[in-house]
Amino acid sequence: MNNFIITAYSIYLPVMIALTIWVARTIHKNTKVFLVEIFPNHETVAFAVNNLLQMGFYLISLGYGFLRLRIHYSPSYFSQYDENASKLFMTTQKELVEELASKVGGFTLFVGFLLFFNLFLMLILRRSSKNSKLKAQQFQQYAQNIIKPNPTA
Amino acid sequence: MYNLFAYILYLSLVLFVVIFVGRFLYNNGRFYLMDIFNDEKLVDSVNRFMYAGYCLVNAGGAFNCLHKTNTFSSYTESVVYVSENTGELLILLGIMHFINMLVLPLLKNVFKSKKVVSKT
Repeated sequence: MNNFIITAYSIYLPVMIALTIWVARTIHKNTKVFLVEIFPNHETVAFAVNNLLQMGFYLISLGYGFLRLRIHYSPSYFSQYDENASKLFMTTQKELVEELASKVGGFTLFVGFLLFFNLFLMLILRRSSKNSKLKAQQFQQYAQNIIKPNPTA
Repeated sequence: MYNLFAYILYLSLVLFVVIFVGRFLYNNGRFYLMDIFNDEKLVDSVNRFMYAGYCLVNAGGAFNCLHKTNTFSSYTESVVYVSENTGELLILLGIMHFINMLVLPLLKNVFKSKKVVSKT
């Protein structure tokens, strides 16, 4: 009997790849602002890090997408009484939509969490780099005060 | 047949709701974020990040918990299915929205750098 597993794969794969490319481009565009602040006076380093981050995102997200590709028959409690249950798996369009929705949805959730992880990472790095700059400034002031004490004092 | 109708209606409704609510929040959340960061460029990029993340997580979640049901025999059943599931999703979105509005001001102190204490 003809089943829809190959149809499901051929819908899932392009959707997954398109989603990955869109999200990677969004991250690439919006992380630049943060990285320029995190690496002040080192624009080339910031852009290089941005490209590396994008590459890493591509690898992780595509890897997860390909890893989750397989659609397999999972026997339920009732199917043990039905010998044809495994043969009838994925033969209706209903099952095709159900299976595709859970696949695409799971992948989208994963990508969304990666995106938020990236955002929080950038926010925290920005904060810590600002703090370290402030500390350096304070230290400089402190050192200057020690070296050149106020003559009127 | 009825199942397919219900599923496709539900999924398209979900996409529509998520994208349009996201647009609304994107336009209005800008001023909210301005209060936290005070930097136009940064706020724009954070806002775009949040929009993309919001769309991905909510649409993904909604797609992921498409309930598998038995086959329907009439349009009434499929309409009931769609309305129940959409209602569930909308309530979840509302709760998440309020949690987000509560949490962002709390995070204000986490993302801001410490104030300079001038020692002169």
